[in-house]
Amino acid sequence: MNKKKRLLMLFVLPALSSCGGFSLNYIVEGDKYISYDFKENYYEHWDSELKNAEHKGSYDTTDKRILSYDDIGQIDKNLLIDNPYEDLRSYASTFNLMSVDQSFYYGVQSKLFDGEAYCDGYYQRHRVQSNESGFSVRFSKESDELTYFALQFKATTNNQIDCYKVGSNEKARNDQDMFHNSEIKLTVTLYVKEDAKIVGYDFYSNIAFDDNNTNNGSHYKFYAFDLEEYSLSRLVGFSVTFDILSDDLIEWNETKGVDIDYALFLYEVFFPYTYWH
Amino acid sequence: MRYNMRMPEFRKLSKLHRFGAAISFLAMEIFALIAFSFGSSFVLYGALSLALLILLILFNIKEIKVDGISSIAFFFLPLFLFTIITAFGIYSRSHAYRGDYSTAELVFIPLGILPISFCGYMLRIDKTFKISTFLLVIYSALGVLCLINLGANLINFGPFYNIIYKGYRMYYGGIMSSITVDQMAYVLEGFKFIEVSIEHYILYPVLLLTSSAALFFISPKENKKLFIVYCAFTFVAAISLIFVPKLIGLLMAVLVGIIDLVIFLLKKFTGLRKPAKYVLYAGIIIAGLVYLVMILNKQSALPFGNAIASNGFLNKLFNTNGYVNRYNPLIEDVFSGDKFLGYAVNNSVFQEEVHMSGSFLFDFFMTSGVIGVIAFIFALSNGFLGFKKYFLKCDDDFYIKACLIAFVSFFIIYSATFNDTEYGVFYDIFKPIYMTGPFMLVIFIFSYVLASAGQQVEKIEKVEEVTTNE
Repeated sequence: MNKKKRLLMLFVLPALSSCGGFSLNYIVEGDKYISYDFKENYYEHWDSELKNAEHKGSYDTTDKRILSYDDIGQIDKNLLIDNPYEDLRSYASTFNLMSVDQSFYYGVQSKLFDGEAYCDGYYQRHRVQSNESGFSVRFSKESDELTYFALQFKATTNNQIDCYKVGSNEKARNDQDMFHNSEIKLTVTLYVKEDAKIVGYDFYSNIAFDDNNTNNGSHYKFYAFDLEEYSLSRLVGFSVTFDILSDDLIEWNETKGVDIDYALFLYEVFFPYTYWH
Repeated sequence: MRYNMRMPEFRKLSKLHRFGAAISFLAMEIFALIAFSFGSSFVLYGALSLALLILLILFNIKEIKVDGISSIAFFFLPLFLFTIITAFGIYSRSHAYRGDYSTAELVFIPLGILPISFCGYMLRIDKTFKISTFLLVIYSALGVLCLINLGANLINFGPFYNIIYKGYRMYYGGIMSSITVDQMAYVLEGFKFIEVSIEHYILYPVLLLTSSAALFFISPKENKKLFIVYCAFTFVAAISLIFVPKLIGLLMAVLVGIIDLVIFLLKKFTGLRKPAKYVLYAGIIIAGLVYLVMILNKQSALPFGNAIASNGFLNKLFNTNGYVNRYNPLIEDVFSGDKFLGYAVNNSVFQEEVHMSGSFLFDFFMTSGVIGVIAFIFALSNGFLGFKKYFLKCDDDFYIKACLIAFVSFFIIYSATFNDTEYGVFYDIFKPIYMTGPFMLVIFIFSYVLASAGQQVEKIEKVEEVTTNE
């Protein structure tokens, strides 16, 4: 190798090593997801491999799920496997994924793994906001066998829109005017590796929200379902989507020609007692 | 007998002298580790410096002379005062109370910095130590560090990311970075790569860039290998700054270029030395006046501030530009109350904490108090006076002198302007300048230079004595 080639290599090597750009997956432009405009904050990222994955099974978790209103942060500790906590804050600070592995620290999705299961006063800075088409999260590591899945979230509508009170011709003026009942079909898809292929398993459940309010901090739902009977392992990601089955505020306002956005605010995702490698 | 000493214990110790080369090698290893800034582990540097000094004293006890020690006394003593006040002053103790420092870190402020300031003298009298090797070692360590850091940035962000992803932010640990991606970079901190401010990243490549000063004095025809090695150092520094382009990096590189050029011109054209001396004095006086005005401007007890605020130009210069706003909150507090030995960080959640400004000229008021600042500036002045003698009279190769001057001058200017003490973007890192590897290297260089200048004066006096006797 002559001298010119050697010198060229010194330039080429750093350029070649730049092919990675790993951290570019974790950066966002400007104030994306932290805008004061409700509509700007939807997290809609879909990993292409997960999006195109074959869906191998679909399971209704309605009969097996744990679903509790969690306005005061209490959970029935006996319903969860090996759970010593009744207080969800303690539960979240122990079982959050960040405390298990460094790989969960990066990206917008890290908001789901940080152990903050409630809005901490930073509003949109803290939550992952999803619309019906949902989003996916791809892990950089794979799990061992899964025990159970848990999700802390709430459902809401866009209170920035000038809308009508349910059953009334008057405009909603305060939080109470926007109380409404709704029901969604929530689908959590877990993507696992089977041989070299990624396949998805859908777990769905109908969830009703009574007297739901848009603005206050109440009506969190803690939703969990057992995974031991499915013997799933090598989890590489998950996705969350939902369908609105009914919502009296949206339906009433549609008759008045007003479109209202419906969103899930997701705060924390748990895979307790799962090892990652 | 070669080691014929009167005191028996000295005779025993002198047998250790045969290991002199090994100790010199150990010293190089330690300097390499310090230059590599291994995890910014100040306690490790401190402990190694202390161990090195003990070994050097054991191996070179015969060579220690009172005259020699006196050459570094005016550097060592104020530094002693500075480190003691800094380590045990209210500022460090309050940080230790908050858990920012461990007790070991506080203890090793004097126990790490003072030994290394004595190592310069000890290694100067050690006949096996070569300053040229020292330079190669520290530049090699910096070169390796720069290449690793550059690789980490290219792998994570890609080349020129500061331009391409301007305005982007990164999510980590559920929160968004307070600074944009173009303001951050990856560096090796211990055993992991972390995101740091760009000001911290550029420190290492620009320190390495000071090796370019040697290229003005090494002849590629006479010493081809050495020339190529220094070219390689400069090249690594340059690519580290080119692939992570930022204005501050460019400014610092230009500064190093100016320092290199001034040294070259002063060597080449001796007639320039006198005017350069006056320019330097004028520069120091102007800088000193600006420094004094900045301090007096923010003392509410004095009418000085009102006079400046009422003048449009002076008001813009000293009060209403982004640059001075970094320093002013800190300066306001300097003389209020009993703060001559530094002052505590604010532990109250209701009051905003005064952060370090990034300039040791102001930060040391907080960490070491007025007495500490005066002591440090006194030590620094003595160090630079030593450089003058070293530059003019010492018999070291000129490329070595040029590199040492460029290294120290750049570091002092950097620490007086753009140093970032809280450089971690997501990690809570707090490292005042005196707890960093480059600072310890600079202290060593000052000590070495002063000892060299002292030795040279001794030699000249001896020659004069012999001439008179003849």
